[in-house]
Amino acid sequence: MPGNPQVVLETGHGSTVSQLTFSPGGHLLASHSFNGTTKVWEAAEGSIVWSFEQKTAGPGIALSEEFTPISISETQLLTGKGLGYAEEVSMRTGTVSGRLIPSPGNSPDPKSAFQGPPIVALAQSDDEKWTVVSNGTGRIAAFEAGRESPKILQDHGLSATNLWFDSRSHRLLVRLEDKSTLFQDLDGREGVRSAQLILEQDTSVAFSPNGDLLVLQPNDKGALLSTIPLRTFIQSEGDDKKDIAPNNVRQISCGCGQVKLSADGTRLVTFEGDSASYRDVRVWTIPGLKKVAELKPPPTFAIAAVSRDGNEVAFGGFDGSISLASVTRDAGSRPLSNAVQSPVSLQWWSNGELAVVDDGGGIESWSPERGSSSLAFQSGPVAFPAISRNGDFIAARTAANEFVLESVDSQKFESLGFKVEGRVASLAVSDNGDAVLWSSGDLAHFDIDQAIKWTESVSSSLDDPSANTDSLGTLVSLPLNLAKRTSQGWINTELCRSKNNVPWGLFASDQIITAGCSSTPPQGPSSAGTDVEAMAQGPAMTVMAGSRFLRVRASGETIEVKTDVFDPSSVAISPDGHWASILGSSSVQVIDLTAKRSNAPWQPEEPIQESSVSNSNKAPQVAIANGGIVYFIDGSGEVQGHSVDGKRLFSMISLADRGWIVLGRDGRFDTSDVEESGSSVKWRMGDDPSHPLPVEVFMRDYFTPKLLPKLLGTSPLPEVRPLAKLNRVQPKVWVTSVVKENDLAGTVAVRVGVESTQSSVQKDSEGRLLTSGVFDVRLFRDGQIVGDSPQFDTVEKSGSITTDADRALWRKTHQVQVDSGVSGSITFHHVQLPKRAGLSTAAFTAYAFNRDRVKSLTSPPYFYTLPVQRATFAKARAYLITMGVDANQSRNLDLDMAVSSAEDARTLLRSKLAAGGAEVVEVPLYSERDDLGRVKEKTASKADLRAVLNLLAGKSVSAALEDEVDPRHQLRKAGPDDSVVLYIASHGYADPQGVFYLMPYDTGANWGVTEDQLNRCQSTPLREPDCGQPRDLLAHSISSSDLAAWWEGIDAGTMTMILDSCHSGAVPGKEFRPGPLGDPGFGQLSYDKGMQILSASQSTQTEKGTVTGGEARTILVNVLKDIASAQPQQTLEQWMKGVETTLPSVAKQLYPKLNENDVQSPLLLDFTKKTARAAETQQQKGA
Amino acid sequence: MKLSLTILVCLGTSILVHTAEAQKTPVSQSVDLVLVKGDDLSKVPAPPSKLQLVQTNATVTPYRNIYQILKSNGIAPDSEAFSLVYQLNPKISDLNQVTPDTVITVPTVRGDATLKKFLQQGDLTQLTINPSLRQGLDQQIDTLAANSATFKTIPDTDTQDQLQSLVKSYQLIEGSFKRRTGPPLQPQTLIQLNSEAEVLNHLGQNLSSGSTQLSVEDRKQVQAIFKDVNSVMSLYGQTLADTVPKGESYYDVTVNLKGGDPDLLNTIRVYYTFNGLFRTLPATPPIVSFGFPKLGSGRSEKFLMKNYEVWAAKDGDPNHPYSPPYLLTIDDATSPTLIVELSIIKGTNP
Repeated sequence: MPGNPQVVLETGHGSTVSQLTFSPGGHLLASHSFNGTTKVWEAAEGSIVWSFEQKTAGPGIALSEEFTPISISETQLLTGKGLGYAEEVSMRTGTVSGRLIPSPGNSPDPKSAFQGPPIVALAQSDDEKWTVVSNGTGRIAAFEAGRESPKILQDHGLSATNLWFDSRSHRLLVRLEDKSTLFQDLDGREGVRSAQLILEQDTSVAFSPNGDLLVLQPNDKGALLSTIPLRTFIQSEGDDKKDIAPNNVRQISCGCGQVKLSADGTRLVTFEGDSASYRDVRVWTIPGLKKVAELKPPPTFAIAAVSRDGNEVAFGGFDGSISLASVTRDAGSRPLSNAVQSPVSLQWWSNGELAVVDDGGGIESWSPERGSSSLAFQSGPVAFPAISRNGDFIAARTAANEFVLESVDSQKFESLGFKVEGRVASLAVSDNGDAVLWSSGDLAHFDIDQAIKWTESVSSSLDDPSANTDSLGTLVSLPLNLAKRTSQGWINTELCRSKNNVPWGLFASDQIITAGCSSTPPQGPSSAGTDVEAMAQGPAMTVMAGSRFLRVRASGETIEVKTDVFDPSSVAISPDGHWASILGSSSVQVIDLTAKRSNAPWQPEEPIQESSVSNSNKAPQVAIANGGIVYFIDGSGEVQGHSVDGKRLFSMISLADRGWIVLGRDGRFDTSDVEESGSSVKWRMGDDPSHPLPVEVFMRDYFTPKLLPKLLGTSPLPEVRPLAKLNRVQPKVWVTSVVKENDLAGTVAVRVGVESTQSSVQKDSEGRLLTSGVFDVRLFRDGQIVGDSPQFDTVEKSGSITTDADRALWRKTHQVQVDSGVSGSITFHHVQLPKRAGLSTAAFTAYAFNRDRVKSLTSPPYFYTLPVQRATFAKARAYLITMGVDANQSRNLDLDMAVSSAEDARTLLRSKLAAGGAEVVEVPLYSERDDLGRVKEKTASKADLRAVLNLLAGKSVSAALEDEVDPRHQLRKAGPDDSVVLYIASHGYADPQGVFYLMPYDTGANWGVTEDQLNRCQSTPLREPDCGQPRDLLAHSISSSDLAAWWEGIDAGTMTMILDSCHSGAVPGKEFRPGPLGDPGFGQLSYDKGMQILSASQSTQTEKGTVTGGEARTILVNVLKDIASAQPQQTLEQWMKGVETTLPSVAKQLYPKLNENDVQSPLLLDFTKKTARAAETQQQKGA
Repeated sequence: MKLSLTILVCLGTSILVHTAEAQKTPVSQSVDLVLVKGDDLSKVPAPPSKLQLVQTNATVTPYRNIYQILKSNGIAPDSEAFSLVYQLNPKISDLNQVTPDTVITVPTVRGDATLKKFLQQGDLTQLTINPSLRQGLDQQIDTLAANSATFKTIPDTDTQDQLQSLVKSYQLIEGSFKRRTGPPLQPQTLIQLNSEAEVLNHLGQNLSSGSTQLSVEDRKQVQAIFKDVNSVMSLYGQTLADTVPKGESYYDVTVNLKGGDPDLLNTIRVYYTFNGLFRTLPATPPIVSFGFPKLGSGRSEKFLMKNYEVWAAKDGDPNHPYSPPYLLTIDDATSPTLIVELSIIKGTNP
């Protein structure tokens, strides 16, 4: 049983990378950091495989992991431990599979607390037959696979610093601490030989293909490459006065800070510049020294590794990042690790959102209500960020130890020219931009005017009577203005230093500084301390936590609540002051401040990391919400949400591209971009743990929009389908050819290959390995769907497929027949090509689904070179259809403002489309009455709109209808260079199942059907004749399925629909989830087509009209007009975004009594991003 | 053929009379009845000679809403019919909120045997409430449109813009009434619109008779009318959903009188008018005003969402105030009940 998937985040180490090495085949890359973390990456895919955090070995045992030697093969990771053994970790399971102990330790049980001399060097032969381990006392042991006892190459003496295997044999060169070397052929009968070869530090060594030794030593001119014939090398044994004479020495001239050889001796890599700034990385052949590539290292480059064949160079950064550059693929380095931003600080903002400061200097604002995150501030990497409670100001220390303070609005940090010395104790900012920083060197007060008010390195005592202090044990509180006035010596920072204690403090928004020095920490669980070790400021109260107590100071009184937490490092108060949470050395506890009662403490799933106040940027921290939900960070890259009693509920992850992911504990997830997030978050399955799967594999069952509010709500989410039952075998899909079909029309035939694959682990109930099958193949041109197979005449109704019967039906109707049930191909004919200038290629991709509707990987793009002679083709067109329904056959649906709104929208949209250079073709479809109530125009009908969209889809319509909607016969099949913009102002309705309906002119004689009646008729069994009229009204209306069917055939480059109607937010469908899911319904179609949909209101809300200056318009059009008037240069996308942002505040002003949920909020679905990405890729390729 | 008849509608406290002697009595309203075809609302060529409108009770059921009730009663369910329904059911301001099994009072058309035949073939009776008031308003709007060019000669652009906006708003009111797409209005609102249009036309007449300037008081009045009409126009903001048009909501306003001889307070009446009609008192000619139903302090009246001037005066003599006027603005954010305090001017001796 695979169980629920575990999340795997592609985060960096968060601290400088100290070790980096490839597996012999170059498939895996292992990295280790000074913070003790080790990670394994899949180099070709650029994805993480395993991440190992530093673990405690047991009570009282400290691990020294800073200079851990590592080695990786295709099957195991070898890690040298400070406790005297090398640990083998299986790459298949991620668990410890064995220990290699070069010398006996001090414990009879090597699996428990074994302790011996630390391992200082290790290496594996490429075939994994031999593993050589050297410890700190100079014992060098060679372990042969399958044998218990090692071959001892050296019992004691100088320790090895480097071990180099010949990648083609089992010859080994060892460099010792004194630069001398040893040579050993582990398969040979000879003993260990002194190689009489002196190797300086930073020398790179490899065995050439003929077995000679290549030595690359940096010198002041660059590096010296020497070739030492193996024969000469061996002959030197015993003659300790005779240096080895290389037979070929060549000077490599470069300004190199580093040089490296590939392990197979065929490549040489030079790193230009110095360790502070490497500029270029060049790869050269050996022996010809011909440059084969010039690579650009990342700016944070600290350490590099070269793959065995020299075709890949990996970089480890000072910031813990990992990136990879390939000689064969491109010149730039691609980051493997920077997809996730690690949170370093939490704080509630006054708007109820959680500010999460990340290690990249950004502040993400997480809304538990919306369930999403947005970027509030972005700057460079900082430490100790502090945000004012009102969210206006942020202060921090930069990597260069400078103090910075800025208003959040400014979106940048500026240094105040103040160097922070020593350990940072506390940093806080008030609502008006006053900041106090207390380091072990100084207590400094700043304000937002960037003037240092005062800074003190004081030495006199705390009890200056003039300071009017309010002593609280070891604390002192005093008003800020008084502190400034009496700034001569009121806090003794020297006292803190002399006793090795930690200064800490708090600057509260009410202008109170509370500061103190903690004394000696408690020595164990039994000793409850008296010192306050963490503080937080809440509404009219301050809480102070120490070991086993929490003091609450409010209204001049202090009460104490007993707790169970030792050495608290972080304490937090909920915004309403109801809850407090304390983070201790091993547990978290929630205190009900109203009842003054402590809940039972609980431990997070992962051990709490180093938690004392320190200069680490990864100190754990808690925040607590009004409902008692505890938000917890510990440097893992996630913000974890726990219930009061410690049940882990969710994780919130901020991505480097400012996207975000919310993960539930059952595998459900929500994300800002379901297609992109797959590259940064993967899932690990219990039955195949070494192959983390992209997020899209589980999209169908686990992608849950608005997951966070659902998890925080009271209604339990329905059970998700057990993964054991889910066939996760992905079919393979690829584009095999694109062939020109018709020169004049510019169409091509695209052939797509498909293959049903077989799982290597998943089996059916009869023990047979599962196969994927091939279902529902979809073809995309530059990210826009242009074909699917099998094809349907109608678009299915929105909604998820949940029952076995529905699933069986789906399989029956969507299966693609493949040869022998394994592979086959599908040809999509008459696919249009773009014709506009500036494009040289079109990119075709495809994907399919397996029998459980699990998506395949999207195929690599097939770049088709566009014909050169395209200037003869017609100019791009923009089809602008505006529909306004004032007159309606059902008289109660008559309006006064639909046509006028449509006309205003038409004017605005026309100007925008014309500005883009397109020939604008306008199609007004209106229905109106004259002043006597007679219908004077009625083209705003269902049939007319369908006719227009059919013409744009290249379908035929009756001559009479064409004459009616397009009297000048301007409409033709839209192409990839054309735009289609449809605006509709009309009544709208969403039924209880979430199906959206627009009311055109021709709704039939159904005067008097109300929403209330429709809801009843649509949610209960039909009652004739009472539901006759409602049913007839809906039959005459335009449903979201109608819209999907009509839009489906249109193949325009840009497709935009603005629905100015009540409930129009329902148009994508109730179950719509924006992703490549293959769902039925309009939402999925709009996603696949890369459409933009602006709906005037959410599915439960109404759209209204107003009369301004005697003119009646919908609110949406009024807002659009205002935005267009203020920002005429903006794009249509920006205008629509502006409407989405601005309209709610306008509606709130107009209808101040409305509940928050009823305030009209437009819904903007902009799926052009993915097509834009595809186009960008295409253009890069074309260039 | 158009029939006009008068019905008695108990309007509760919504009393609007052009007399100082306000009292709580049934108000007579006339209603025009026209038999129209159900599909296109064109007049039926040879309607029955006798139509009668009566009020009956009807029960709302889950599948029989107000539209169906009115249609089954022979009434075209348009904004005028809803006006009457809201007036017949003053406690209801939103028919969408009426739950099933609620009994409401509705108009029903009665007639001779031929009417039944018409109704069976889908014909309906179209109502026009207070036709003379409507007719008067339409005439004022036509005049206002004619004055539009004159208003453009006013040098003060703000006032000019306000007047142009008012002309457009009034035209929208007229057009939506003819198309039956406007909101259900209370008679008080029709009176307001009529009276304020009359004031504007009076200004237009003065301008066209030679004067090119408006006095400060005139400009203030235009501005006040502009605000008043905009307040009414908020009722014309339609909802793009299949809902029943809402009625105008009532607000209970209680006026307390402060100061003055307590014995005399009981002889004082509180008067009010629409802000757009108000001019500094005493005004020549006297302004149109409405009195509270009862004398004295602490008396209440039902107001609509409008701007009012409220003052105290000797009963029957509103043009000579005993208190400074109080501008009472009732908008969408106002509480359903509110209290106003008026201070009796010192030395007032009734």
